[in-house]
Amino acid sequence: MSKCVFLRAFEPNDYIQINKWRNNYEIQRLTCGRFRYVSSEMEKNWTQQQMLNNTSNIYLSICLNDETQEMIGYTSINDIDYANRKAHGGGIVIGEQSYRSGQYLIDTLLLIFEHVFNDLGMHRFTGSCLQEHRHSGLMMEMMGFRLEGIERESIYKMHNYHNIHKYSILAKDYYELLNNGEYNEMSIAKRLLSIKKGKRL
Amino acid sequence: MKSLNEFVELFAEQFDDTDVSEITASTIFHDLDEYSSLIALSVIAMVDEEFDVQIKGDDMRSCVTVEDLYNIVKSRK
Repeated sequence: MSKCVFLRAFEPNDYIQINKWRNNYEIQRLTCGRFRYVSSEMEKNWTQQQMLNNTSNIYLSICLNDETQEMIGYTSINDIDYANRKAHGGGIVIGEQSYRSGQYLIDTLLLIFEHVFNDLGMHRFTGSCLQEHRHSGLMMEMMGFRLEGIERESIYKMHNYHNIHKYSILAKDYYELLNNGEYNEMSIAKRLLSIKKGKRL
Repeated sequence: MKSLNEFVELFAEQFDDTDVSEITASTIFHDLDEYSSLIALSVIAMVDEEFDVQIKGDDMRSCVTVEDLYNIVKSRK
C-alpha cells in the first residue's frame, strides 16, 4: 500500500530546515535529548558529516509522497551494531505541525522498520521516550514495541529530571505482525484501544 | 443500534484528559485540545467493537461533529 511519506538520505540544503526545527523549543521539548541552540554553520557541518558517514548512524529526511516531495521532518537509526545486529531509533521529528498526525508517524515508522529489518538485517531495534510523552509511548506500543524498563530521572529538562521509557522490538515481532496483516489501520486501532484499556485497569 | 447519547458517551470515553461534559452531539471534535490522530484511532476501534461497523481515518476527517460521525455509523449498520 502506498505510504504518505518516503525517506531519503540527507541532502546538503536540508540543514536549513533541520536547524529551524532543532532551535524550536516546542518541537524539542518532548524529545529525549538536551535542548541547545545550534548555529546554521554548525548545522551545515553536522549535516555534511551525516551525509558522508552512514555506517553506524543513518540520518534520513522524511518527505511527503506527493508532487511537492516537501521535507516535513527527519529521523535516524543510531548505534548500529552489526555484530549483535541491533540499533536504536533516534526519534522522529516532524517539524510541520499539520503533519504530526498518526498516519505520517505510522508510515514513517513502517518505513524505518523496513529499512532496519529488511535492508540492514537487524535483529533488535530499540526506542525511548519521556514518560510524560504518552503519545509517543502509545505509538511505539501499538506498532509492536514492548516496554523493557524505565530509566529513572535520566534526563534534566524544563527544570526537572524526567524518567525515560525504554522500548524494543525484535525482528520476529515485526515479521509476525507484518505477516499476519496487523499493520493496517484497523488492526493498529484495535491494538491501541486494547493498550489504552490495559493502562486504565 | 445504540442511541446517539450512548454513542456520545462512548466517544467521550476515548479521551483521557477532557471532561466528558465538554463532549456533546454537537461538539466539533477536531477543535478539542486533546483530539489527535491517536484519539481518532481509538474511536475507529471503539466503533468496530461496539457497533460492528468499520470506519476509516478518512471518515473521521470528513466529519465535523460527533453526531455527523454517529450518522455515518448508523448508515452503515
